[in-house]
Amino acid sequence: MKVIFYVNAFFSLVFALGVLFGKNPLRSALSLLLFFISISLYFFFAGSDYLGFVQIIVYAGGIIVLIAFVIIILGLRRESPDFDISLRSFVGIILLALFALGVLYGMGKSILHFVPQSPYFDTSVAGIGDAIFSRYLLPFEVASILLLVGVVLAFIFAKKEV
Amino acid sequence: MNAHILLPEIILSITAALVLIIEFLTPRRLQFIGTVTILGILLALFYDLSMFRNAGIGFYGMVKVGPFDRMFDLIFFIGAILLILLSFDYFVEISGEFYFFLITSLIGMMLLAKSSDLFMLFLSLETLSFSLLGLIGILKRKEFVAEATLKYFVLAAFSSAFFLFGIILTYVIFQTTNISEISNKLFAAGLTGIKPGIIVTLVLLTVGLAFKIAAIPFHMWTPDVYEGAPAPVVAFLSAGPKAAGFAIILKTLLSGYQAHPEIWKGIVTYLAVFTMFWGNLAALKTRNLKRMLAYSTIAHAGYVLVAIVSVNQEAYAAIVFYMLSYTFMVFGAFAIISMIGDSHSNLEDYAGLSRTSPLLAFMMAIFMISMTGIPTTSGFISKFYVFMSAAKTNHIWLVIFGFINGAISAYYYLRVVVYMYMMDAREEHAVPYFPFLRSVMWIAVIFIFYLGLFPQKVFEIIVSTL
Amino acid sequence: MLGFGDYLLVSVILFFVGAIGVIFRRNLIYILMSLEIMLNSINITLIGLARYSRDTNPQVLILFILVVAAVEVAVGLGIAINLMRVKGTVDVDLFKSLKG
Repeated sequence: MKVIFYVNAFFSLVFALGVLFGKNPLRSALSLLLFFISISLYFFFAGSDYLGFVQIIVYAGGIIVLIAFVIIILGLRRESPDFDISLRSFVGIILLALFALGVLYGMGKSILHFVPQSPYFDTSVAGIGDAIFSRYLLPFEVASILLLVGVVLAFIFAKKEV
Repeated sequence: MNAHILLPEIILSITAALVLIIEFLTPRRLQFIGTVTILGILLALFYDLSMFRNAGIGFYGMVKVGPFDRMFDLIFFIGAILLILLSFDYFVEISGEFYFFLITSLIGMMLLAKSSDLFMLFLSLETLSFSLLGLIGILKRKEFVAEATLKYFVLAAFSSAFFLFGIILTYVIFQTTNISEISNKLFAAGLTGIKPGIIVTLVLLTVGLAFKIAAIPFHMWTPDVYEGAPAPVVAFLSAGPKAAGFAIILKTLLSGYQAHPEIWKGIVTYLAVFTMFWGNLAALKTRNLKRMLAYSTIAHAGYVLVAIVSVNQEAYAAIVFYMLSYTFMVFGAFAIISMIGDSHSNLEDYAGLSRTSPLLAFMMAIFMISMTGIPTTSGFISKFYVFMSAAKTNHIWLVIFGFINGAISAYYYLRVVVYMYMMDAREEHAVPYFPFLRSVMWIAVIFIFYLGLFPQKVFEIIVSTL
Repeated sequence: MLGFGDYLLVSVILFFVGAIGVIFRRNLIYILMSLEIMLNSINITLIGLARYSRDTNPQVLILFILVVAAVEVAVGLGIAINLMRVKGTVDVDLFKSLKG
């Protein structure tokens, strides 16, 4: 189990780096698609099939198509690499690395006593739906406002007339 | 479920939908849509005030409403109404969605101040950020605006990813995202064994918060966005969302971690000192008024953080008072900047203003003096309350740093006055008469002097809501 | 034996990679993709949490994060299209000011 998990982790890292160092935007989008699929495998590992399929449908089916579509509209073909090679970005990267180590260290010290919340782990659609419409009702409503804002915003920015 | 405690937000959501429909049926009738928006806001304000003393928990512990949160609502409402008034004169031809974004940002801010769950906080923060993006980018065809929008978007998304990670790690540590449950667990179990983890999550959360209140090290969006975005929107940005940012800090740090304030106090103290000094020193060298006010807003965030470090009731009231008076100052200043024109916001453009339009010059001088913190204005009183609370809790160094910063800031605020009164204009052009901009200016001046001369009553009201 | 620590490790590393992408790249499209990597890596922590604390709620949070990620992409691509029209490029220089 652990081996499969880490093989998948290796692949998600490779795909993420593929996005990071890609030179052709479309190829990076493809790498991102594979990254999303490898993320969905974590959900399948944990036994949450519903989330795994939602991940594939929404990210792979929706978001990647959107990104690829915009790349084609904008005509972003093979561009000269746009890496920000400056002292500033290297300092930023070092700070981020320190931060990542700090998170791992701090959390590693703190998650030793991890107590299970309840005897069973509900991965069914019904269980998730129950949680959404009881405890998470208000976040659900706010998410709907957020989606409305996002739709209007995307429309405002992308339309031709001012 | 107790849904009625969110009645103002529900009214505002309906108004937002209404605005979209009106814009669809009769496009671009700004004054009409703006009036509908104002009516919706006033109705929400009415219900907000009628429920002022009602406290309660609703939506399965997602929101916790008390009178103190409704005080924050008041600041947001004032900011929104002043922005609508400014927009009538400032914008000639924009799409009516501007008002939609205004209302949704208002909803986001109000929910931020009321939410008692970290994840709820995150979702309302995102709603707020994206709505503000709509306000900033409403004149999207201007190059400056396009760039400001882009910068705000990328940095907002970046910092909110960190904020989200902080929330999730908090969830891992405490097995809950509810702020009062976190507080209870801290009181019951203490810090043993989880201290490193808590420090990590607090650093992550601070990144997200620092972005919203424009504190070091996530301040770098401020000057560019302030210079690029339309002046009325900038005024709104530095009044409402900033107050919302402080509301989140009060929620998370002060109520969530109230059992152990010492773990976040260090971080916030350094944040306060660096933010004050950096904002004021950077403002010295800029000659663009909008940019200067951006740096000054960073410095003001530093002053308010001083109040947060001194953990006591009076300090909380001082924060609300500060944001209230700052709202009026900043709206007044940006009303005048709107009159002179966004593209003429260099110091040289203000030279000789006292001769071409003496009233505007006089008003601008009042706003600058108030921001410096000279007595009889509200700027003085609000600074006084903040540093008083710091002195009472023995943060003498912070008070001294505050005074040094006050002296530094006097230089660049009063330089504007010097330019207006002592320099000669290179070319004289009359400022047209804008009724709405002038009304905002008058409202701001009246409240600055009201809060400056009779602060006692307002302060007592704020203290009584705690 | 697989534990929560493994999920956290992978999550932090991928988050780090995504954050480097935001700082290191100048093209807005790449920045957007890196932001997606950051948000997705947070989901790994959440699913690990759901599994090992036997809690349903983290799965709901994953759905909400998905909403946020979708909005982010839609808005970001809208901004990219607008920027292409106005400036003819989607390159960003986050740390440089608008002028000087």
